[in-house]
Amino acid sequence: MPLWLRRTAHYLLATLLALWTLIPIVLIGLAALTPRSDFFTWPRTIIPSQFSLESLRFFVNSFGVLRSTGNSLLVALATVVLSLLLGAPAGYALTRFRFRGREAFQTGILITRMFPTSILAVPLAVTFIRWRLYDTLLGVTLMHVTLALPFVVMITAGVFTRVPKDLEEAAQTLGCSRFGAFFRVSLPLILPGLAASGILTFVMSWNEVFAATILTVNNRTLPAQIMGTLGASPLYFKFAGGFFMILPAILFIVAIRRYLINLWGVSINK
Amino acid sequence: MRDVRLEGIVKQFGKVRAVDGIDLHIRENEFLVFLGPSGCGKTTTLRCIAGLETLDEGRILIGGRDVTHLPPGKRGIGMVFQSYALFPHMTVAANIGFGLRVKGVDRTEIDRRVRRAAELLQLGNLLDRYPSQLSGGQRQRVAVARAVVVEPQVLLMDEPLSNLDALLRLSMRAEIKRLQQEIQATTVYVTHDQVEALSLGDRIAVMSEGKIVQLDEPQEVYDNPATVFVGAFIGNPPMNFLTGRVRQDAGRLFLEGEGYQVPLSPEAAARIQAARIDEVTIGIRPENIAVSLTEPEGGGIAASVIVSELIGAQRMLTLALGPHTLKVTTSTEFLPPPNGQVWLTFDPAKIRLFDAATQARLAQLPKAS
Repeated sequence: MPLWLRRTAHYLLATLLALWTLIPIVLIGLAALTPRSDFFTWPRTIIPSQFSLESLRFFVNSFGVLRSTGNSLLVALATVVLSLLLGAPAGYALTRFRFRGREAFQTGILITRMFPTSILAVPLAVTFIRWRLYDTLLGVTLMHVTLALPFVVMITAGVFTRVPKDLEEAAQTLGCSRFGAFFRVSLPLILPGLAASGILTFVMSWNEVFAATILTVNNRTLPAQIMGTLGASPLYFKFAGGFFMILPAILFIVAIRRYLINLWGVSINK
Repeated sequence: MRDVRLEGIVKQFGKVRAVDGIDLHIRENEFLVFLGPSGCGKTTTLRCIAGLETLDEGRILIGGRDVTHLPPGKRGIGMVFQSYALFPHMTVAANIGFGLRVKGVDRTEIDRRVRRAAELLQLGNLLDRYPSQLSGGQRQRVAVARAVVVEPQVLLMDEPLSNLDALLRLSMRAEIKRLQQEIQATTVYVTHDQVEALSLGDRIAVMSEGKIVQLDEPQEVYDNPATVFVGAFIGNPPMNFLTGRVRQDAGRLFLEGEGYQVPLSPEAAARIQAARIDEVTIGIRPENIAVSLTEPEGGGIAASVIVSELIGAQRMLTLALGPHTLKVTTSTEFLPPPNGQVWLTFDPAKIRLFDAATQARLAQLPKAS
């Protein structure tokens, strides 16, 4: 295949993939910014006659949305902090030390993801009620941490592999303690990786709907809240809700895009 | 005092004894080289001195102070790693100054000492670069500068030249020697390259299977290897070895093996007799065998040429002596005859004697008074 053809095919595929994800987002975005009255005109237009924040304002001000947004943010941030605190040391141990049961541990981590949450739903709910965690943000956070941990451990283990042991040893011979060597040398080098797995965890928790719906009644996170009210809502409300949900994830990913690129070894600027 | 004392140190990995009971006194300002094939325990020994490995047995003293249970940073050492282990997120200046920053030296002092170290290693104009922007030789120099800037009592180097190409290795070798004389630091250097060991070391500790098999000055290690292993490991091409029995013939003593007999000096014969052994291995360096086209007076050993190679200033012959193969170096003018038949004379003063069973050098006889 000549080079120009290969290049064209390459870009064509990339464009198709981009469209595949972008079109729904753009459509939702447009619909969310369409004034309410436009939804009842015929024929429907894709581009609204004018942009308006009316639907979004209505959505944000409707019952429970602001509170559940707060809940979602709280749960997502707590999930990020907890899963990094637990997962990063595990990833570090997996790459730095040869210990008995290392392989089993690595496989075991993945096994936790093999059970669909729906199977675990009832026993989980019962247990949480017993432990008085039911309908609390702490309960949802714990659940999200459980879901996120395998990814955090695997990603951080991958990142730590790229920091040679020599570097920490060199720091030790230059006067650092084991911890000092980690904080002065390894941590700065893995920060991008930690940031990336943090983002992934945040987005995962922000989007997670199933566990959040089962485990809460009054203290809902945003997806659970929307799930609960969606069926009975008008169309413009649904679009506004959808757009509102997507927005933080997009902003977040744009903000940390540089680190993601770094983590995945792709460079756009070079 | 900045000497290093290893007292019966043992390091095990599982069932393998990587370091198997080493006793060694490294003198102040000495350049000591650990030499051996990969897996002989030389790097592990160095890491034990550095404190990167904990000992299973024995103690280590640096400058008379027991450091066995001290972490690496408190032992007064500086180390150069085989991979250089430069911190990729720091500039050259920050790399060199790292140890001083950790120790809390004030900033103007750090700046002064970093500059001096950079000057010593010709890195003055590279201080703002990052390691990824440096060549292999420059990285190596930064690694050395980072280790010496803390003014360690002992400088440890783990195969620092093995990642450089041959030409650069040659110039860096000279530079390391110069540096060591300039800063007067006790230096422990690990290598598997015998040329490096011979050219750099004040003394060489040849290691095999976790033990020191010979500890001597380079010339002595080369001339009088303590075992067959040392003779075979050092020298390029290595020492030749022939194993046979001693036989008396018409009042003269010979070492007789399959397809040859080598005349022995009376002194050699006496040593063999004193050792009360049947089988003897003799070792002789390729440059100590004379080759001629005709049988020399007093008898020579017939051999045939398998390969003749020009290796620069010399010619190297690979010869068949019965079932054995010998390497001999001659002048470049020597051209082997078409039929390949040559005659060898072993310099009797250069023949080294080993016990064929234990592979150890036969003891010198006490000088007759």
